[in-house]
Amino acid sequence: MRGLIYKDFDTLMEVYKKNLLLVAVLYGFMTVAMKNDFFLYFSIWMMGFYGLTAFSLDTQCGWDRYARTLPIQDWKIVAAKFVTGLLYIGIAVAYSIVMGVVSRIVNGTLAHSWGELLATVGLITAIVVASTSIMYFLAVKFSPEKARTYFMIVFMAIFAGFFLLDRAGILEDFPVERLQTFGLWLEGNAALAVLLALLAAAVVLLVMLAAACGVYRRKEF
Amino acid sequence: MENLIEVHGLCKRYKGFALENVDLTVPAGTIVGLIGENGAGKTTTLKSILHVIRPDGGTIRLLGGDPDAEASRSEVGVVFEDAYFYGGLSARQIDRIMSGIHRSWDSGLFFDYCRRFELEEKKPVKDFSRGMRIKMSLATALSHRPRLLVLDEATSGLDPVVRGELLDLFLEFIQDEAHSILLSSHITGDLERVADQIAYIHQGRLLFQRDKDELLEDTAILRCAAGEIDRLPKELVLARHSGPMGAAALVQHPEKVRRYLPAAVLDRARIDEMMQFIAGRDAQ
Repeated sequence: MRGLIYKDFDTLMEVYKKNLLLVAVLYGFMTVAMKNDFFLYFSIWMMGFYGLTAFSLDTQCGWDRYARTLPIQDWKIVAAKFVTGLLYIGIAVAYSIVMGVVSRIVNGTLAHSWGELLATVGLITAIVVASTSIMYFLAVKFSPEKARTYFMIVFMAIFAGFFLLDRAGILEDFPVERLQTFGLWLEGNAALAVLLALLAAAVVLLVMLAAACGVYRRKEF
Repeated sequence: MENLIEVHGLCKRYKGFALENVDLTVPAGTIVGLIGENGAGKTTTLKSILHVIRPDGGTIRLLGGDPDAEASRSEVGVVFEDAYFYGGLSARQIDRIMSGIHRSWDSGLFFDYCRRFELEEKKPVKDFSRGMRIKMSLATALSHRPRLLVLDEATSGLDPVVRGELLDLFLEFIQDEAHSILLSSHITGDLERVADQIAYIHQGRLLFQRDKDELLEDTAILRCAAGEIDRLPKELVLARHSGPMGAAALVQHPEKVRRYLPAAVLDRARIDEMMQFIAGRDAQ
């Protein structure tokens, strides 16, 4: 599987290296200048989605077909994609933490906000790992293009659902105080919350990986 | 003699096309040329042999094992016309990748092939000409020292000089009588030059797999009046057509034909002419 991970990692780097360098410089500058971590968190999301390009490139250059002729078990071909995605997310997590710390040192806020930085990075990472795992499964099942489309439709449907519930007045009866209580609990137990979120993301990843392997085994190229 | 590929009763059905009961063998130390018109089923046959698609029926043995067994595939080198790495990768990166895939990958051998084919190690594959890309695919297919090469249209679109180099390499590959090549190609001239056997797939069926020299000696084109062809026993006439310049027939056993028509003109049949006759017969 080592060769497959090299292949996906190198391929994505060849495609995105200039873009990544530009984004790293720009997002870093904006984070420090605006005293806002949004772009750091967004970079984790972005890197997770960059991994999806590896599926598109495989289809474009016929690698899917070629890979089947190599002495590799089917599950390793799929798992290599997930591992490459995690590596990309890992790079973005490291970047976010380093730039977050740099920003806080420059702006003199490190002492009271480094915990918040780590907790937010942890939660965003969990969300990105879970959502990209679902995307990768959809890419194996259908195609990377359809995976992106389906994912956007689901997101839009959720937001539209909330909007419609709000318009219909159903959300007026929602027990907001329970949400506030939950928010307070999160603040007091940030480390535990992050750990639970990461564990949940790991479960989603393993389920999606197993499902993607099952689909891949039945595919023809 | 050991067979590196054994295919019996292979069937694969798609909407509008079916591969039916294909029997094919590739003995050790031979080059088998797989010919057929576009859409005849050559690539479907190769994909089935290589585990890229699942057959609907029949059995396939690849180097004595199942095509989906890692052990079988580890001894096969594959070149597809249009399936390879992302073009932004270089030979160096491909070496690093393949050394993590094939246990028997030999980096020294790979770079020897790159030098022999004049492929720059740091240059991205997308900057190579088509001929060079095929050479890179071939270097990749050969550098884990496979016993069997499977090539799908590997020489298509190449100039005669590059094709000549590759054909020499194929002959070199099978020299020790332990290696074999299954080569599908539209360029029948290449197959006449290097193949030991010819397998002809037509409309999803294998019409024949024969020793090439025997096939070329045993088949001829008869040019004469239409009435004269009618005088021949039916089993000698494989296909016929009539045109403004007279009639012609693809015949077998030319020495027998000559006994019936001593004055007839019998020309040596090239493989592409055989295909044209047979495809024309079935189109009628």
